[in-house]
Amino acid sequence: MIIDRVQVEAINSFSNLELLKEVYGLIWILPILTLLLGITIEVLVIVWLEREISASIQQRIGPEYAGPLGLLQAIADGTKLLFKEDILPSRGDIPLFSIGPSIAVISILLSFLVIPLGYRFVLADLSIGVFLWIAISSIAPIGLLMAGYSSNNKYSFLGGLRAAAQSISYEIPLTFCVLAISLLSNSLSTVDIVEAQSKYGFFGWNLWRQPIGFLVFLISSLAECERLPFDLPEAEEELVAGYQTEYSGIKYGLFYLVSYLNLLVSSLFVTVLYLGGWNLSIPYISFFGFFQMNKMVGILEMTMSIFITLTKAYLFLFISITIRWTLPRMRMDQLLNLGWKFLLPISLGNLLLTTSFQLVSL
Amino acid sequence: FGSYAITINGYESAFLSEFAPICIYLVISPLVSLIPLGVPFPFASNSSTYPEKLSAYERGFNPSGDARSRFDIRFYPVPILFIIPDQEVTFFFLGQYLLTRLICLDLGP
Repeated sequence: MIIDRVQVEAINSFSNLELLKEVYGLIWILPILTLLLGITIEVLVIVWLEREISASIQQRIGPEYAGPLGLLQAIADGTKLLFKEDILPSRGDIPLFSIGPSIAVISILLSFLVIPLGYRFVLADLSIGVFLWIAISSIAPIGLLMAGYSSNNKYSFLGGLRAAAQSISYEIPLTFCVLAISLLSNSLSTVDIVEAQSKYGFFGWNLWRQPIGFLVFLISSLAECERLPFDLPEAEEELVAGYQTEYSGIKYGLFYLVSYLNLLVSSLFVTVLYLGGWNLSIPYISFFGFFQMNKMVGILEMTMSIFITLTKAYLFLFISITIRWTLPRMRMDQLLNLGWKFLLPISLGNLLLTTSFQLVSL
Repeated sequence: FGSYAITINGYESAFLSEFAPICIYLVISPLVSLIPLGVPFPFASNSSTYPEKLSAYERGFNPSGDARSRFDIRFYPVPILFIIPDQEVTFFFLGQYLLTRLICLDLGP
């Protein structure tokens, strides 16, 4: 008995040491910082892309002075915002005013936890990855509502209310589309969803199995990101800048950052859920088979995975930037009608149809 | 008894391993948003203040009243009706999970 107890305590001590090392050690900080660095670079690229594409559509010159081809314009703007004065409105709620942008940034950053860029190239391969993303994306509108409310400005208040109403309205169709995808894949893990699409090249994409869900997801994503024609919370001609009206300096920059982070997350999730994720997707050809003899196949495979995922994601970034300059803004009643009376029943019908097919296929 | 203890530790270790990056990420994310707020503090302090500068934006004339006025309590059920479908979606996930279990167990018509 004494020997057994000593052995058990020894095993417990060993397990605790391993546990502490794994949980609290430096083993996780490097991947997280690498991910944050990658996110920062991608946001800079998106800002540059938006300005260049907008300039091309409008037949004018985009950024061209800061760095070659104006690539450093976003860095210059960010540095400028760092040195601007942080004006606090006299009749606002200062604590809420400061916390609002932070909550929005934190909630969007957490979404990058479950986005896979390769088979083992995901920060947290949770069995409930997409569910975590949907839960986290519900938090960002709280930050926007806090910003609008705390400014004590009529424009900001209306902007905050619009942001909350819009997010709640379009979150439900988006969730139903994600549910249909996870039903097809028999899993809520983002890695499993990508693997379920890898059998027949691009013929195996969920895009073909869920065409209605794909369109509803696209529209709901644009509304969630507050991109034209769904930018009512900002609505420059009506609300000055919506919930951002009273913000200056880096706090305004954080809202700017939130906007592009949210767009990037949505594009990556469209890629993961509907376009096969990191797979090259040429049917019946194993791209990496040609390099089986080489020891560098691991690094090459990882690089190709990241490249393919980002290429697909930037396709949707291009679409959203192009849509911005082709469609007029909606009215608020049109926005809510589209969400509740059109997208919601369609996505619910799509989900029920998927459920029926899954049951029939048993 | 030893086997039982090992099982408990194994389960605990697996659980914490899966969510470890989330715990650390939850610490780093606030830093990512608070550091940009803290860095401009030496440069961006309010050097000169006057009432017009700190007043709310109102296109040049004085703001009339508080932006957050009191509203009729009967409007309150409308946002509650918004929130209810959000809760129901969570149960849809549970339904999807049960259906997946049904498929995996090879039960059905």
